[in-house]
Amino acid sequence: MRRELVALAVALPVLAIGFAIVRSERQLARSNEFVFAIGGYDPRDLLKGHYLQFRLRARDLPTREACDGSNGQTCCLCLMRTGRNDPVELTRATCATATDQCDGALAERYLSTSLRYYIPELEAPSLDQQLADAMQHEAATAVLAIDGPDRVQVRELRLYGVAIAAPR
Amino acid sequence: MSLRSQLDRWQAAGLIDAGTAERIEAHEAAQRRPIGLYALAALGGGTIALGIISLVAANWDAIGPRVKLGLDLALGIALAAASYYAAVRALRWATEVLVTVLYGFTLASLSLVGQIYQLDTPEYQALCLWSAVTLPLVLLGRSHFLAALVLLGLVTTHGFAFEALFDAIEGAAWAGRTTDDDLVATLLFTSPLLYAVLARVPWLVRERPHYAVTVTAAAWSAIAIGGFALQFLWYESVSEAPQLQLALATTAVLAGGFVWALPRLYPQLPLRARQGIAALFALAWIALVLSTAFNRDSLDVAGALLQIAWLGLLSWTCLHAGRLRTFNLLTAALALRIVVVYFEVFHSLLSTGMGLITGGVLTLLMAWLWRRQTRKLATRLAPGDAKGASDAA
Repeated sequence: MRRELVALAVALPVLAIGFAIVRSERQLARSNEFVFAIGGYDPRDLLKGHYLQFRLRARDLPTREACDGSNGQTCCLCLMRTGRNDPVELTRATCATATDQCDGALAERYLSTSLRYYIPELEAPSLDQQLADAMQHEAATAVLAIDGPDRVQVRELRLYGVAIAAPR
Repeated sequence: MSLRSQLDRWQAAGLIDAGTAERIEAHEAAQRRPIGLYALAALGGGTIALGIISLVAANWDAIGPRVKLGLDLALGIALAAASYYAAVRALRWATEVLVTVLYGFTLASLSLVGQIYQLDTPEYQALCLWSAVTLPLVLLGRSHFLAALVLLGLVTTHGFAFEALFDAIEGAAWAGRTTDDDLVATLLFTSPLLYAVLARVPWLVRERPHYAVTVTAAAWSAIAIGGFALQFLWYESVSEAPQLQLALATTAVLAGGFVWALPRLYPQLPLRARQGIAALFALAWIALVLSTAFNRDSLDVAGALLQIAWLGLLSWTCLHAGRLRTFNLLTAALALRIVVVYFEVFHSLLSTGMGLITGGVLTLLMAWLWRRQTRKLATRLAPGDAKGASDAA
């Protein structure tokens, strides 16, 4: 087999790993961070390592602008900051409006999607318990880095205002 | 039994002389490959890859993310360089080990990136990326073990991707119930055919025969199991027929196209065996149409009989393809299915001593018949050129 092809074959996997790192870094650099109230406790799923699973919490979702999701229109959450460490205010709007007029825009489907936060294996059982407890007292928040309505990375989980340890 | 013992036996029986025995031994010695060494090397490589995955899964809490990623990349580059060196120097066993390790390492590294950046990417996306970027790499290997490992990776990726696709179709506004069923049926019907065709890519057959054999075996196992499982549709009642519309036409075209391509895909296969395959696809398609196109109650007997017909036709095809070992396996499955039919039909008798005795007698009778008839059938029906060639191919 030609040497160039062998070189390409062995280099591709390493390039893919590098690409994944660069893409994640770029996304982080472009993102804005928002604090969200979280709820909805699920047990960890061992299939994908150790992580805590949660959902964004929005008790009321006022309508800023009518948006018909069943009509092919993409609906978003309009994110408005209230304070540096306070959860954002959420209203429902079209993605175009949310992107133009709000501090940030997030696809509405994230309200019904479970998000994951990886944690150190040894601390998993106690963190599990702490998260469940904080959710019960509505004192759990998540910091999300958002780079467009569909590009989200979980940056931090906070229980009673204190960030919990992520894998370093 | 070792070759030497067999040659001694044949010599003692007067089948070959001493000169022939020596020539056979010399020929076999020249053909011998260090398969054991390859297998051990690949096994060792696989274990190391698994170890790396476990390490990542267990989280290296003591190391910072950037150091961790840097080390990961450095290890990846070192592995890639070593794989390159081994491949261009044609160091077979070293290439097998290193390719296996790099294959597993890539998946572990993508998971590590996902963990560190807290990415919530669906599993199928990571698996698709992994399978795509490692495809040229794994083609540097040659062993059955690596072929089986890669096939497992591909099938897992395939499964996760289909699950995501089916979920997306189910939730899509444009897809009604029939569209759903149509797409699912078409994709499930097509998948094993796709692997069967891929396994016959001329480069793969010529340059990576172990890969071609492994993928072919897996594809035909999937076809055999799929055709058998298809008949379970008869065990359900249909009240909103037709359940399938577009899928019936699509699968007919695909099955017809596959049968049409058989002489090109398997030029060595005897005509009878190709006819058997054509009949198998016809049976599968007709069963799909009849079981879904009309409103009906559940027809368990039809399902059971069609499963017996399926196994019988498969056995006949294998016999004509010269696959005697598979033929024996399938006829054993056929005998077992007949015994299960007895228990399905007379299940109420299972609680009585007489029912159990009759069932036991039937089982023994089927075992005896199977043992007696398979040998006779194999001798009577097998074409001359297929006898004995069989499963070595």
